[in-house]
Amino acid sequence: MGRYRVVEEGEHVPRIAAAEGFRDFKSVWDDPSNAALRRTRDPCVLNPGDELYVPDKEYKAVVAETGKTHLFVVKQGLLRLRLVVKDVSNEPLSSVPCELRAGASAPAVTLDANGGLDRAIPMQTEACELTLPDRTIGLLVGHLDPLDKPSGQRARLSNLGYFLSDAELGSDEDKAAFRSAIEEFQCDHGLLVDGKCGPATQARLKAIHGC
Amino acid sequence: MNEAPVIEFRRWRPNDIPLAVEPVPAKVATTSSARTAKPARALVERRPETGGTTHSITSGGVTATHRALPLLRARVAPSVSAEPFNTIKQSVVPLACWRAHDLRFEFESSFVLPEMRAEIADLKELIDRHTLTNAQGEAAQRASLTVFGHADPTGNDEFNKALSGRRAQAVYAMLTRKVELWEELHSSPLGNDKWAPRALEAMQRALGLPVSGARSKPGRAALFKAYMDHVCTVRDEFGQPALDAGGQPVVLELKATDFLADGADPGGKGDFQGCGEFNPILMFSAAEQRAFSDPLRKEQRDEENATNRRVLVFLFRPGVRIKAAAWPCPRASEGSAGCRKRFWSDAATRRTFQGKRRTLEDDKDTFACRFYDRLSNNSPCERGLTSFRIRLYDPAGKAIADAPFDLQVGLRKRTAAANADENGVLVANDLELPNRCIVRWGFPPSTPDEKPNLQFTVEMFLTHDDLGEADEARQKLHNIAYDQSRDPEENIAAFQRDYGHLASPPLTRADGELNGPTLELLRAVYARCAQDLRNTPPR
Repeated sequence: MGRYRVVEEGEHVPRIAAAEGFRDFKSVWDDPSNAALRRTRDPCVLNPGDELYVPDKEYKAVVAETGKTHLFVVKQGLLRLRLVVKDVSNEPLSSVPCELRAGASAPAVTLDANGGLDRAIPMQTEACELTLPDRTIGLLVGHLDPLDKPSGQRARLSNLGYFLSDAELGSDEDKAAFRSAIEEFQCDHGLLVDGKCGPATQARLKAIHGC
Repeated sequence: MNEAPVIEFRRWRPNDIPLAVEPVPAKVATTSSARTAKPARALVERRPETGGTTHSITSGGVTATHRALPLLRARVAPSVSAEPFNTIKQSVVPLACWRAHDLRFEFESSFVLPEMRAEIADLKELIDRHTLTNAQGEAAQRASLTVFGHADPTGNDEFNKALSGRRAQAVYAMLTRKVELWEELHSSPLGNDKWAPRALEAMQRALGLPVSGARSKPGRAALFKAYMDHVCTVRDEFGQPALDAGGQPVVLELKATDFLADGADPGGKGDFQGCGEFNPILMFSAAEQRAFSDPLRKEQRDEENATNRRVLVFLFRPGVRIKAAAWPCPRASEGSAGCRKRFWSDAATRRTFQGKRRTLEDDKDTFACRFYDRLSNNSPCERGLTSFRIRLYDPAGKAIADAPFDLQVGLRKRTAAANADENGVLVANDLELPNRCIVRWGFPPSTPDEKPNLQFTVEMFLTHDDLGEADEARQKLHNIAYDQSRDPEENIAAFQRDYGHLASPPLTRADGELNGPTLELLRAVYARCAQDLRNTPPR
């Protein structure tokens, strides 16, 4: 019969699908019951509180002779982490060597000419670290909320270096810092500076941030 | 200790009760609860509410390290398709700050006064504190710097932008010994910011050179360099140059590449800039501003506005450099269009004088520039100055005009000797109003070469907070020359004898008892001294 599952902080469809035993997240995501969610969400950018329909697993029957050895290959869905890293002058960190520490492994990678990183990561990865020559950036994979939510807007503005406050959420200082970040972003990108993250600003934020 | 003549004290604020009788708001003093009859020696330095650590406060400036922001983790989305990615960009956040008050510049000018050497020494210490050392313990990489000049909200925007930019340029040039930038300031005067001839003469005097008239351009360059070296030499309390391990004088000299934009832009974009009047710490109320438009009150307005006229240097993590094109601030010499682009959307409201007086600390909405607001956020250097005045008398009770004095406020270092004005009044600006200060003063020397003899000393109480009546009386009596080291009863009795006739009805007994009428009289006399001081036109 399938059931609805409430998305929690840090969850995304590929990980949920894998946890539920699905090989391919599309088996979950493309289900007709998720059509409404598909209209407004990216499968990797869910909002805590969204309801995802997880269908029943289909069983595949395979006929095989007993007494013989058979090889079954399960193709696991891959999850990728794609980043673009820029410096204070908004220039990409071209060809800079770094380390991506996810769990036990810390492979040395090199950012490409555009400061980009594109790596497959284990499905379970949540907290990891990117170590650059002069600093280390902590990453929370899957914790990016959708753009229409203030939390998602803050996260993107923070990633882009505009929002830097550790004031209590909802406090005056926090609200002022958020407004400042929106306005600075709007100013830098030729948008109307009004301190509100409306559709035009959100669209631009998505384009600049990448998702 | 000589006989201390009468001293009046009051904290300058327009048309209000002098501090002497004003109840001090609870948040100012966090003195210990143990109160005894002994004088309050334990002095409290208020921790800035911004967090961070203040390293030094002098009469002319502050140095501090900002509160470290916790490292937030970047929230990113994974991808299952080729499209989405996450951009992470580093932001520019200052780690520390230095401030020079208006006091260290010639009034309405960009000329740096020799007294700034105290703050330059503190700047050197701050830079050293944030310099990375290599494995051998040698200095390897210095923090990168940028200089911001600020003006007060009087006068027009463009003029203020230009003047504040000139001050930033003057400080930048001095730190990097770029005499050509001082030549530029010299040869293009702006309003009262005219270096020839007074600034040149002041430099010659400071260097002990004969004061001559106009110098040639190469002569000026040599003079500028010598003066810059002079101000940037770290000295001990006797004025002698401090020496390093190798016996060399300790100086502060930086390179253009020590600054945030690497010295790459010929106009200094990213290295030094003026904010004009766009980022004041204090905004008068509309009523105050109207009252101050009276030309007779210009001096008072300038004094109150002094806290806005400042120069800040921010330090960034060693190695951080920004491309000039990526820095939003226009050059110091350019107009304010670039600044306006970065104004808050409600900047018009922020820049208007409103119903009440506003401060950065309390209202947090005095800055018009959003970029500077974020950059300087929570900087311990960006706090309002409190100004207080003390009048100096001789034993006969007559104010000493141009009295030489020095001041030790709270636990800070003693200030360099300066002179009171022609009414014998000295004005001190400080970031905090500590409990006490020690003033030493004397008569002006008869010849200019003579070293002033600061023969009178008094320790004054500046705040009378949370005190019981006995302590309040003791402190106020002390401030009006009934020294607290004497028996309190004797002091009260002496006061009753001296002033009793002023009470109504006149006091009948001089018995040293602090009764109701006596305390009332004391407060009235104290208030009258303060009133008298207030009625003395400033300068």
